[in-house]
Amino acid sequence: MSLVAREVTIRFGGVIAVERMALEVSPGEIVGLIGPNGAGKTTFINCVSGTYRPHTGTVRWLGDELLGLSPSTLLRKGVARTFQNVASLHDLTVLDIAKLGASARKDRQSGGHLLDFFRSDSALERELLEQILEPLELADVAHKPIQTLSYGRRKAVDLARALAAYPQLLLLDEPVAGLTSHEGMAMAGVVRNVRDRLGCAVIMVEHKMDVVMSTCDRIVVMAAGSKIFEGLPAEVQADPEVRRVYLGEP
Amino acid sequence: MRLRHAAAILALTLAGALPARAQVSVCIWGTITGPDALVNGMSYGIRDYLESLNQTKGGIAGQKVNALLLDGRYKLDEELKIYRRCVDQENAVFISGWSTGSVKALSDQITQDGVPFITQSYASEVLDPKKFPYIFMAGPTYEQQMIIALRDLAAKGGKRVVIMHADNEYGRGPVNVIRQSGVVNQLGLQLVDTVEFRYDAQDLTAQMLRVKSRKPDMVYIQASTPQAIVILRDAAKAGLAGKLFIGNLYTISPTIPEQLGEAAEGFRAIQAYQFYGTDIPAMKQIEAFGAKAPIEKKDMYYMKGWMEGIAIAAAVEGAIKQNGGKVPADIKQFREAVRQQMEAQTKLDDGGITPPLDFSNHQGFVQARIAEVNGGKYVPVGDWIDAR
Amino acid sequence: MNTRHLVIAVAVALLMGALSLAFGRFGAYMVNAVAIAGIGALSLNLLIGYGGQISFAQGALLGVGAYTAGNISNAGGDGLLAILGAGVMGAIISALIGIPALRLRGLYFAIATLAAQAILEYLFKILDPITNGVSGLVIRPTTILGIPMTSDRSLVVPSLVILVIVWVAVSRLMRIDLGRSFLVLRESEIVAKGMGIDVAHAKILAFFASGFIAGLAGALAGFANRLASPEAFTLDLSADYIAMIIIGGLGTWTGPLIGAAFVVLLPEAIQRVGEAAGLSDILSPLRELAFGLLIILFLIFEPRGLTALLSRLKPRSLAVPAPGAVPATGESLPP
Ligand SMILES: Nc1ncnc2c1ncn2[C@@H]1O[C@H](COP(=O)(O)OP(=O)(O)OP(=O)(O)O)[C@@H](O)[C@H]1O
Ligand SMILES: [Mg+2]
Repeated sequence: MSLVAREVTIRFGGVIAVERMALEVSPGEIVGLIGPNGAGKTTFINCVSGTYRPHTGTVRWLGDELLGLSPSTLLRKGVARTFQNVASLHDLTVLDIAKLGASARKDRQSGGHLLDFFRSDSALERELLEQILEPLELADVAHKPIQTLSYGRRKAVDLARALAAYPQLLLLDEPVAGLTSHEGMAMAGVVRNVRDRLGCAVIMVEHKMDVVMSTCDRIVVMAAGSKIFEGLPAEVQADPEVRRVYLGEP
Repeated sequence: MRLRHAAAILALTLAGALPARAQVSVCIWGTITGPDALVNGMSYGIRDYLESLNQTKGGIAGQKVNALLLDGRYKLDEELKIYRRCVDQENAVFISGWSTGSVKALSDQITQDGVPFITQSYASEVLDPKKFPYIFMAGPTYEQQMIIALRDLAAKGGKRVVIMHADNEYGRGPVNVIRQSGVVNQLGLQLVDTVEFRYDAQDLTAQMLRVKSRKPDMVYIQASTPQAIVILRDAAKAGLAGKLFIGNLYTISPTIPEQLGEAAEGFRAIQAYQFYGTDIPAMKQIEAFGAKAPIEKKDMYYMKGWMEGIAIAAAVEGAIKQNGGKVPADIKQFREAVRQQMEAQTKLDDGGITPPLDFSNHQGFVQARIAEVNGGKYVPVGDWIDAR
Repeated sequence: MNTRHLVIAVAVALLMGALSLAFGRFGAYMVNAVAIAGIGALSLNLLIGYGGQISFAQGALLGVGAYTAGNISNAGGDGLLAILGAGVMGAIISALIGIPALRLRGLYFAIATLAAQAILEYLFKILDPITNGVSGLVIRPTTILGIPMTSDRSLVVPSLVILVIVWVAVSRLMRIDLGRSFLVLRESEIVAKGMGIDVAHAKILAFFASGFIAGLAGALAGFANRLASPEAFTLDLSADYIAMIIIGGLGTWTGPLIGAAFVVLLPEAIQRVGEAAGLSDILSPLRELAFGLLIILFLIFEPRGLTALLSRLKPRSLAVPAPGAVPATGESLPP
């Protein structure tokens, strides 16, 4: 196991958002994290990605403790994430955002900003276009400001940013929410391809069960801040407790 | 495209700045708007005197004078800009400039450009005929004004002196000179405190309580009318009498008794020019001019300007006469001739506004007297004293 | 893209150079003033327009540059060294001013910069050995690379060269990772942080870069004015610079220069029009009013400034589709 999270607990005032949450992911594995609204999925992702600092618990990645590190340090260590809601960023083009994602990569870290001034980034541009924007069907809008794009495409841009970092651990928060089912399936396909190519570990929070079922190798179900079930996609669908809590059956 | 628009704007704006040519051009910049606007009468005085020559004598030596009055707003960059315009575009043969800062910043360039310049700031540093052969000053410096007040106190047997000044060059500079010169002790007086305050302070109650605790026999104000108003108002609150206070030349303004009434009574100030309305020959000219055009400021500073106008016109006239009644074709020559004529004036009569002027040392005259607010009016209370 | 900016910058500088020759010494002084204001506005636009950090300390920062350059030059250092020294000093002081920005945001930080402006103004007045107190530091004419800078015309050259370099450098900066992270920072610090941008690092660098450029502008202003005095670098000057970047268009590439030209030339234009119409006595006080009014009007009607106004004049811009997200389709659970 390369990602091992244990006993992760975080409270907001009186609300216990995540309580003694445990999760493990191996490289090359896509784990689906599902659960009803307010279950604490986003909060858990925020803890792993350095946005929140949990009160207790450990999150180890290849043996190193991640808790307490800032998002920028984590990104440099290969932990990238996407957001449930995408921000609209004025004046930045799709390619700009992808480049920002790529800026965390080791091979882009030498020399500092002053060298950037004189360094051409056309090679990077080509690479991003071919490897990331093309598969996400963003190549044709690469030079458009992102606020001119549809919601679905903006979500794709957010994914492109995370992928451009060539992450080893990829955290996806509802990547296909708000997308048409065609768009969603395409996006899921890209995630699988990236996993195949980079061999990265993926945690995918998602409500759309068809996407979850067809993409994930394993599924973890959260409710009220804790893990209530873990298993293969088929097992999850069969479990009566999950059906009751999450799928709303009696 | 954008570039073209930007260029068009630039070009249009600068196009308005094409040089205007006049045979004799005098450029005056003052503070028409800005912190010193209450005491800007001299800027109008110079212009009006030159205008009156245009009206009564057809100008100077038969040449119409273009007297251009500009607003420096007491802002350094604005004043530096105006200076360029005066030298370069207006071809001014004489310039009257305002703030201490601008005169200092320009002092080298004035020499380089060789343009006669009369400063409305009384900073002693620029009064140096060797270093700054083109800079002239009308009357006593701030230091000399202060010495007149100190001598008066010594003569009356007082002892304890407090100096109040603003926190800018105008306030600090002369006070430092006086402090370092040791003149206070030489006169047998004691400087018990110096109080600095913000130039734009609106409340000086705390400072006035401090002044009161020093039990002064005299408080000298090195600041201008707006500050003097705040000082006297808060002095009254602290129970300090107006007669304890004496201010420099720039605290003679009808505004002070008008705004303060009783609190201004007894307040004294240094007077170096006859008041507006005094029965002197110059006043007749002013009244004659005033009959045809409105006079912007009817105060002592206007008289100062009128006097400066007389000196400028006399020097220009001398230069034209020397050139056989024609304006020298080369502005450089013209300016140099005017400078020499200015220096050559040793007994210039300005119609009684001041004693006869002598610009051989670049300072027209060095005497002043003390005036006191009495019944809402400034009334002279002493003889003219030479401040050298 | 970059070469286009380079071409535009060089063309504008050449045009300004030509104007300075065509309108004599006064023209040279005005062109120099516009160039210096342009550099200062580029600096502030980098900080506010691109980095989203509101600062009212720009006037004082220019002062830091002027005093630094004045001292180096008066001590016999070459003008170029003085200008670069002013840049470094501006950068350092600006980074110090930026430290509270690591904790404070928006208006709260803006208040902190007001304090910084006041502190620096105070220091200008009391640090006598460096600043010569309230008298101001008289700056003797400098020499740049051995060439004496005695006339207004000679000063135009370094100002325009620096303007071009800074203008192009800002354009380039916005095309590297650092500049892009400024833009994200401006939109939202939380988003920036989430995207893995080192917010503190980016902020301090924004102040550093902006301060460096402000220092250059201050040095050039010092050489042009030949005096660095506390009264020249007050909050009024900061306000002028904020006016420039708002009127020109916040966060645009051409805006700072257009705004600078506008703010520097408008008073003169009003003055000359007033003189021509015989109304200068009335129009003179109006100049101050005009600025306030213009800023309010721009904020209400054209927040993106003159740049946007000018680009709307060209028919080409009609073809650009209005920005706005297409509504999302497809079923999904509410977030
Ligand atoms: N910053 C915060 N402050 C206070 N409470 C919070 C905060 N963030 C999350 N919570 C609370 O923690 C709980 C978990 O929220 P979280 O956003 O993690 O749920 P989620 O599983 O992502 O839900 P959804 O499927 O709707 O996105 C909720 O009760 C939420 O109100
Ligand atoms: Mg969520």
